[in-house]
Amino acid sequence: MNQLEKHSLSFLQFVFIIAGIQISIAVLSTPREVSLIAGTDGWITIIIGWLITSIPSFVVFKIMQRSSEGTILDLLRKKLGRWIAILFTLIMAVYLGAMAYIGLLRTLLIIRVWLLQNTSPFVVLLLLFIPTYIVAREGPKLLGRYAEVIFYFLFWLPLVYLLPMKQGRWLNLIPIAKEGWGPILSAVPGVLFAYTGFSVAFFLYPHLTNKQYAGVGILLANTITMATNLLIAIVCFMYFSPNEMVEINQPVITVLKTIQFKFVERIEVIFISLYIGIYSLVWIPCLYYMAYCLNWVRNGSGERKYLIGLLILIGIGTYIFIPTFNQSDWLEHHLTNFGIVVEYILPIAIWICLVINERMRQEGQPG
Amino acid sequence: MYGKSLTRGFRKYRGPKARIQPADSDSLEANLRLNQERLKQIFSNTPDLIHRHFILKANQCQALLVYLEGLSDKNAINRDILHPLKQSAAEINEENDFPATIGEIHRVSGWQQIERLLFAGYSILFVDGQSLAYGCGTQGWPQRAIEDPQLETSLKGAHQGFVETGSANIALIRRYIQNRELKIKEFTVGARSQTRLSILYLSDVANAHTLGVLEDRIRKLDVDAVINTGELAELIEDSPFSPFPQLILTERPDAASSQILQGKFVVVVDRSPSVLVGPANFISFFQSVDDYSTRWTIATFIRFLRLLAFFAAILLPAIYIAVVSFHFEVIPMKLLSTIGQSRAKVPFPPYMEAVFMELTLEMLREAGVRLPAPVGQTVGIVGGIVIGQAIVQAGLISNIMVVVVAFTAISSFILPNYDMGAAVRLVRFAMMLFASLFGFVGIVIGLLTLIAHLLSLQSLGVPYSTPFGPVRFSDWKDTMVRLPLWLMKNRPTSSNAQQDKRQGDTGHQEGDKSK
Amino acid sequence: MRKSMRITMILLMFLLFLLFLLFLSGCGDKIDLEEAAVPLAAGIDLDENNKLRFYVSNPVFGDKSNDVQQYNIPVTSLRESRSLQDAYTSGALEGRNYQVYVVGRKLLQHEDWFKILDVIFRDARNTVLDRMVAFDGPVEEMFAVKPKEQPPLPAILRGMVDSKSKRGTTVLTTLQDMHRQIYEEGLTPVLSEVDYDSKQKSFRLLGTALLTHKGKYAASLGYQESVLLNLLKKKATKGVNLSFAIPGEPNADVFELDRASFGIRKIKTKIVSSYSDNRFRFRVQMKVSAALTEQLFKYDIQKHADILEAQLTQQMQDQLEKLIRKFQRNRIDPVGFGIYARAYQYQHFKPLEEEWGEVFSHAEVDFDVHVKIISMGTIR
Repeated sequence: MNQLEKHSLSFLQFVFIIAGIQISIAVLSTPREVSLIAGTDGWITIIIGWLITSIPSFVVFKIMQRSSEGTILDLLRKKLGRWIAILFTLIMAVYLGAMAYIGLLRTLLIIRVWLLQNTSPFVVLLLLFIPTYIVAREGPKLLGRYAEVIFYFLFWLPLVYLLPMKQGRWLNLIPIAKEGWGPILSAVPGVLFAYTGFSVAFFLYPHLTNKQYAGVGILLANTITMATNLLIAIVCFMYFSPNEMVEINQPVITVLKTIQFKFVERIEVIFISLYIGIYSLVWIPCLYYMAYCLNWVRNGSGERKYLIGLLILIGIGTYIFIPTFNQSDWLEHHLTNFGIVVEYILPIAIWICLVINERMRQEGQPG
Repeated sequence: MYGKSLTRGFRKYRGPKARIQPADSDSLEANLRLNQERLKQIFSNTPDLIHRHFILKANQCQALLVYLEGLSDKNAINRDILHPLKQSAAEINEENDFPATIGEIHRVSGWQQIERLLFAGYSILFVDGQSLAYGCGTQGWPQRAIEDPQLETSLKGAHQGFVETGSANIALIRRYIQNRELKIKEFTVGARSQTRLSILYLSDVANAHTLGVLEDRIRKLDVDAVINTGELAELIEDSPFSPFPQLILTERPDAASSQILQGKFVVVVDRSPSVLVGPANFISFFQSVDDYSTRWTIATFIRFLRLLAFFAAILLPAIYIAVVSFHFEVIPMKLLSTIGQSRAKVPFPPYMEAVFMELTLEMLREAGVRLPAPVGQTVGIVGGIVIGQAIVQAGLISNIMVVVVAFTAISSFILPNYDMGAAVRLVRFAMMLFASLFGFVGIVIGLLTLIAHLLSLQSLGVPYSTPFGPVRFSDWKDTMVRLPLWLMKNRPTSSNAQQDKRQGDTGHQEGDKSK
Repeated sequence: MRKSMRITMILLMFLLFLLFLLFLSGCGDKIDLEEAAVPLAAGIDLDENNKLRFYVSNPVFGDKSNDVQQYNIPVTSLRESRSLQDAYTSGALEGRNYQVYVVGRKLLQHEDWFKILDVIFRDARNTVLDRMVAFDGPVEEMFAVKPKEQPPLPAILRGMVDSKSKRGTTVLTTLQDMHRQIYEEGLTPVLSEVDYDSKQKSFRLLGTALLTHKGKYAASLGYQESVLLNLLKKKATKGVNLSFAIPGEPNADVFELDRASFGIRKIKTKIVSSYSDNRFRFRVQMKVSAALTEQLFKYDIQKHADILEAQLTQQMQDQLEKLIRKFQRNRIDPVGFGIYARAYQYQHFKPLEEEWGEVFSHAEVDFDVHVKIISMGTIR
């Protein structure tokens, strides 16, 4: 069995890895982010963002169609030369590392604010590394299974948001486009962050068993992300009045605070803990693929070394310095811009390069 | 690759040849006296080796019959060997038919083989003037009658359990699968124990690759002895550090047979009353034979109970600790005062309380297992009274904790597989630790670790956690639910069978009703 | 494989070491239930010198069941109150389990008192689902009631609010709801209101307290008015009861025999907003399916159901109009007409958002009520 067969991914695993990254990177911040600019019309922005994301998603699929044997890195080396490939690899490594770090950081900060106020985040981080290492060391095969199982275990989490909906008011949502379409459109770049993550398809594609459905898979993942974000955003908009929405740091969690059952007085404690499961879907694959990129550049023999190195690095970094919420917002803001470049512009650029390259080769051939 | 790591523990030995002194020269002499001396030299201090000298009438020469007392059937020797030999007129030599009325005759010329046959219960006939001995199949050792399985009792299933004789166990399985595709591969393992292992499988169903993995691992074993099936399981399993059993041990022939029919492999270990089934997956530890003989709706309900019990047994004490010492805001007001009242007198923090109680429970269980049944009952009564009543009244443990412990105890005993139950108990302590340090965060991270670990496990190279990860929906018919048998037309994909289909359209079709 | 096992071994060692370390360092967030003081009821009010005072009722877990500690502490801010309370209790005080939060009438006389509660929303561990109750009188009086004469204060108050709000005779406002109402421009806050009946030695639910947008007390509503308010807010669930005096029916002696009551089986409320002549106009349509529960006068419903229906309709409409006039007089909008205005007349509403109470007092509200009797009970 070669590597590709051993690590084959089913269609749903492929979808869930991508959707997992997308959802967990921004599910908590999206409703507030869009409402800051677009107010209660933010849900339209989410849909627009989804439509826009379809374009680079499709481009990613088109690029990868040229490479069934290796990942994007092998393709680039073959078609555009070693140095461009290495440049791209390094960009991806930095980008994925940033995603993983932001994901971990968010988790730690949220645990610190909502659950364990006096426990050192460093200790929690070490704890988080246990499942991370177990999954990431095994590579794509286990990433897929893990994403799939976590999805089935926790897919009902967003459905709980239907409970506060009863107390919400549909009237908050109308009139549609109350301030015109300007704010709605200007919130779009921010919302694209909620869809970043589909570029791991670059790396997952060769493992996919049914490659012809890869494009549909990415779109499906986008749609799952869109539906989740949309549901949660609409519930938040309905529950909080437009003025209150911007007053609250994490409306997505605050909404949960208002759910009460006969047998459990406050469910948000349990839910935020369960959210850790969803969050883990961003940093585990991202860390693995960062290690993969680094390993590829060095032509190394295994990702595991790099993975351990990365974990130690993040551990030490966190021990020394933990960014505050504001700093993490700042990081997230810059990551958004970085993500737009890497995931939206870069694939299109690569595709154009590849097409030109192929044309030139065709012309170069006699006849 | 695998064998290397396996033998690490035995590294100081240099293989069987270095450990066991070989004979100087292997072949027999043509002289009875020399052979006898050699025999005495090999079997020094072996009083149970019986020597019987007599004169062979036909050959008109001395003969010697040796056998190990207790391993051989004395009646058979007297009746079927000594009697005919003394009466027979036919000469005994290489060509002639051996006159004894015994089914199995080996003609042997090497001492090593003689040694092996003697230990296996054969009786050996030496004839003066021949450099050849005759091994007669007179095995007959102390045997237990076939009884109800002890560990895996069943309400409606068969009441025959495996016994300590490998051949009898194989026969028990053959009674269920009367098909020529049931193949048996034999191995001998253990330099000193010479244990016979037999791999049973359906050659047109079971996956050849998995068979290769299994054979490979068994072949690479280099140990002194394999006393028990459990030892074998530990030696050949995939992840020795995991708390979870990766191979099923069963003492039920019907369970083993149904696993073979699913395309799995069964390893029968001679002298051990349980057999090994692999590749196993997580959910198969939740299935019991009775599930298939009760109505499917009830079986489904029981499956749900077991899964619920699995999670309760792992999580309940942990949740109690997390709630009481981290997140008491989740407790409703009325319960809050109940718990508060019962905790108020207790001098220990909740996690110590929980660990203390769980340990007590484990001790009681362990004490009950090892003691004879009447004494075991006493332990139960003492435990019941001491733990249920006195400890609460003394104010050492809160009564809520007693309820929690009792519930988890029952939960962990619901699991039909003993090994899985034991694993669950171990994991429970880890969860309690996590919960006592980090509350719900600890529990969730513990759960994630558990999921990740289960997903990364393999059994004989086959994913352990199928059909949940990788998800195979077609296999879910026989997991958390147990759908009617006539719906399970294919073998579970988790066993990687060559032949998917296991039954045609069996019963319950539209047409049936009109008849 | 061998290498990976060695790594696993190293990791396991590391893990054990880590856990050992954790045990040594202990965990900062652990606080066992019996070591914490978990007050179930809190109250704030101003004392006679206009100083803020904070009250807690704190169950004591111990030999004597139902024992409760109650304190009243002068504070300048609620955060400070926590350390002050800590001084009184044996355990560390945790504000995670409040069931009710009582505000005194005197505090409600002032604007912007809600801002004091900031700490509750800022600290994530605090509950925000405690029922907020306005107390008609000094809160000190409420917390002075000894629990021997009563079920524990938190239990009785929470039970009162929860069950009565289901029947529509008051509103259920949690702290989070209060926060929402304060931040919602098109709505003014409402609280459930309670007082202490010193003769009966018992707490009593009065109905609903209406506040202005800044949180100042404006007016109170009785049971029937509260029910009507809930109907307008579309909060009333099925089964609320209304009772009316039918004019023209004779009274006898001391008994008022002109009463007719009905339970609402089904109600459809529709509010339509419009804007013209520089004022907002609202049209409220109510279709009520009623089941008679009480009728003290003799009446042949089978023949003349329509007449009774018309009378009930008239009565209900009158009371609703009176209620709206009460709101407008006090410049409040507890129903949330402003939300309709924002949704449908956004351009007109947005500039007036800040002073909606004032604007609403000039609005015109029309009613179109229709009561239909669908059941008359088991007797004629």
